[in-house]
Amino acid sequence: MANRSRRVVPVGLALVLALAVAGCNANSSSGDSTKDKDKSTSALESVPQGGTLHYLSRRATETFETANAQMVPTSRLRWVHRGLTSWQTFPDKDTVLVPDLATDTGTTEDGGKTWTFTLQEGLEFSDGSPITAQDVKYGIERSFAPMFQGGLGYHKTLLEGGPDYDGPYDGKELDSIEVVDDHKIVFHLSRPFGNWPWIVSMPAFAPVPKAADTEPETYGENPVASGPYMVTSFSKGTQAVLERNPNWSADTDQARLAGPDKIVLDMGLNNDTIVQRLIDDKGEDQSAISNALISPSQFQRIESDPSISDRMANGPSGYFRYLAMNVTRPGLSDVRVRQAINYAINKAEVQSVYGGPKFGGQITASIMTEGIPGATDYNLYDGGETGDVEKAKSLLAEAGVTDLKLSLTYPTDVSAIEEKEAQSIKNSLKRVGIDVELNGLDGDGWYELISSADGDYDLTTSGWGADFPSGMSTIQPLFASSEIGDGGGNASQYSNPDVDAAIDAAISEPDLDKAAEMWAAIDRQIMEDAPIVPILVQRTQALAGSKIMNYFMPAYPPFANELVVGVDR
Amino acid sequence: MITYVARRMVTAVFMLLAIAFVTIALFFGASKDPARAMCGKPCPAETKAKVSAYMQTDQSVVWQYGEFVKGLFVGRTYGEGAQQVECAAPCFGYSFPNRSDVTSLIAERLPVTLSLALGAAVLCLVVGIGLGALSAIRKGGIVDRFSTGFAMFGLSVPTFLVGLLVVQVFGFMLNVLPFSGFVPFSESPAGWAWHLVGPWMVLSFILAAGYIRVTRTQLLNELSADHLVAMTARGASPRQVNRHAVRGVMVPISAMFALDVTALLGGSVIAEKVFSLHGLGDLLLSGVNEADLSIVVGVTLFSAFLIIVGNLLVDLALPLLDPRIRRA
Repeated sequence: MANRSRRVVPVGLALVLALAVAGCNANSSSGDSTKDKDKSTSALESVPQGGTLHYLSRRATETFETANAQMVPTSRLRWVHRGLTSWQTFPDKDTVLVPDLATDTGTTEDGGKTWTFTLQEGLEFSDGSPITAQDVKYGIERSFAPMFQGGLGYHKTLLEGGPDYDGPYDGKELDSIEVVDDHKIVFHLSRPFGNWPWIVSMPAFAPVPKAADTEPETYGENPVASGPYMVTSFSKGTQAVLERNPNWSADTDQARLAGPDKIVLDMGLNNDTIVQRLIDDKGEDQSAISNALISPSQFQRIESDPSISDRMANGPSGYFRYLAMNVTRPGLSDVRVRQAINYAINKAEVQSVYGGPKFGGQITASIMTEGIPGATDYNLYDGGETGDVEKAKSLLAEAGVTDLKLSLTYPTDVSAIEEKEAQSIKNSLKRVGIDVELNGLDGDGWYELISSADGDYDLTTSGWGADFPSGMSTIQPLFASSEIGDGGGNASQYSNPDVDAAIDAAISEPDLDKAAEMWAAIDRQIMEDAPIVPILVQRTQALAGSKIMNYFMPAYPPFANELVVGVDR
Repeated sequence: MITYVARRMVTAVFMLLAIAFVTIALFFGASKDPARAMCGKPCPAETKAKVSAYMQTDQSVVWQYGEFVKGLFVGRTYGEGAQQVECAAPCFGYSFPNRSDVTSLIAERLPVTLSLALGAAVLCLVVGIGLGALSAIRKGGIVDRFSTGFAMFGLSVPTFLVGLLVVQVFGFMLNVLPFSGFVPFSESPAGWAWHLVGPWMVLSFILAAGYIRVTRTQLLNELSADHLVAMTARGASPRQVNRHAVRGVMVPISAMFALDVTALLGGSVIAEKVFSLHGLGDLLLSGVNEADLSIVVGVTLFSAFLIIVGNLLVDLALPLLDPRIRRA
């Protein structure tokens, strides 16, 4: 799942997923020069069939419930469940959307407000019953039930009548999901939405046969499978064993390679122990992947030993790290002051706080990160990697600002990293004569503050990860004026009617290539107003055992594709 | 005696009710919003309000407390109609992230914590009293010097460090112990013990320190006490003398032991975390991390309950061990 990355180091809810990556021997992407698209590595089109894959999870609450899951379509949840669409990822080119249960990625004839999907013929669940449009509808409806709070819920507000719908358990259906026949399903949205084909790749769009949903609370422990594997044993919080679903056929599936015969998922393991086991690479751990987070202190050890570093996938993809400037505050209302701060920040220092160019991340000056269509490498305020103090000072002088005092709030409960980052920004701004007062808050208090319209703060550091590759999932949540306050992510409280209108148009555009161009223009338009200082695109890393094949970090999302790994035998 | 027990029980109940109130009040005093954690993404204000209403976290502290106490006796339901989830009495609350009532979560986790606690308790008692007694008997001898140092070390190093060292040395370097996991006793007693040796070693090492010191000091005091000196003077054998001395040592040791065991039963957060054991400590930690009020209150109360019961048992047992207390 891609989530707001408030927490960077273990413990957190934010990076709650498989930061799993790693290179197999044949396929490790070194991760150097990440904007270079001509890497020799490529995704394998097939992997050896057979063997047992081990998954070491630091989460104890692993289930195969789709109604409230918050995981990307390339995650382990989808070993068991298919969606209407899915993703193909590559080490060397952008992620693409492919049909999964459906025959295509959806069609619209009214500019993106009504979307039609047709299911492939002859698909069967693990229990032998046919996969029908009705099962897809029921699966989506379940996600509206209050008992399944949470998960990726874009569809809940987009489907007509969604906000007032409470799930199928009291006998009601959501009429905006229209089942035309066994194979044809039509979605009626409350507004044109060009990214709907990506939305239907999300967990809630997995089919669930109503007849099998007799105990919704525990359905995710032994669901009926549409994907290549079915759960054959489940011990809550400890272990799940998956074996092949005989009714799944590889010819119908463009997203999964289904190499291993069996998958053993161990849950609730200590993060550091997982990393240590993968470093050690003994016995079954040689065929293991994980969602453990590698801490900066472990990089050196890994780096110094090629037999370990060869197994580490390091990706350009990751989380967008930025400094938000509250434009409603007197000290920051002048665009020249915000531009001056853009020039003043020593991004190289923040980069080293996060682990340097190789592990920490790439310095950036735009909003959308690599892998998001429309992301462009431009820099409106090029002060070099360490900042341009003179330029910043002259802008401040032009704005007639002297003795500026600003507060900088940041979350403290995670790791000392965010504190060091805040300190670095304070030092940067001191160079240009801006006095920064640091205000560290615990994670929840911090988020409460920066997501309320009357929050008392000037600056805040923050992070963001997109849920699907589109400006809709990066620019809209952070810069639309509807996202100011009430828990929204617009911490700069940036409100520009022109930008709002442009965002609205881009969201509606069903031609995604055209939408990408629109998002690119909005990216630049926003940066002209300088409501934030883009700092880094953080990298993500993970280790895999030495027998794991085809395990790499794509440009987006910041997780390895767990559906295509194989076990070398 | 019966009135005494009855009085203690009544106090205990009030104490537990007070602890529940303080836990709930503290939880809501903090800035954590359980609805945000369970709201998903995106999380518009209306969705959050819906989630909050369903989880009943939008109500006041007093209301929460009232419902909690009521739930203990008659159970609780969340949601309405076909949507509702039931939490049967005694309901300690319902954990939405785990989709389970807290009572069953505690019941699920208890065997792990119980195994961990009892093994560690026995081991620390054997090591602690053994080394302490040997030190006292041969004061200044090599055992004494070793165990004093051992105790000092045990008292001063943090649990997580010892835990990580044990995992690192025995698990990874020597590869003689499993580094994580739990096997139920009913499945394989050998596997059960095998997986727990590491955490037992860690916990008993930390705990034994106290027992070594108390046993040693107490035994030395006893041995030099007037009545034992007199006993020796009258020609009693060292064996007889020691037997009397041990009774004096038993009192503080039992008091200490009962408290340690009950605290261990409440969950050892760090040892469980290091060894990836899913006991009560781990449950409590996940509750705190996920802003899951029900778990926090449930586990806190359960631990408090154990400690109060443990204290009561000690107070009832001590007079049996030491007649002087009975007379006082």
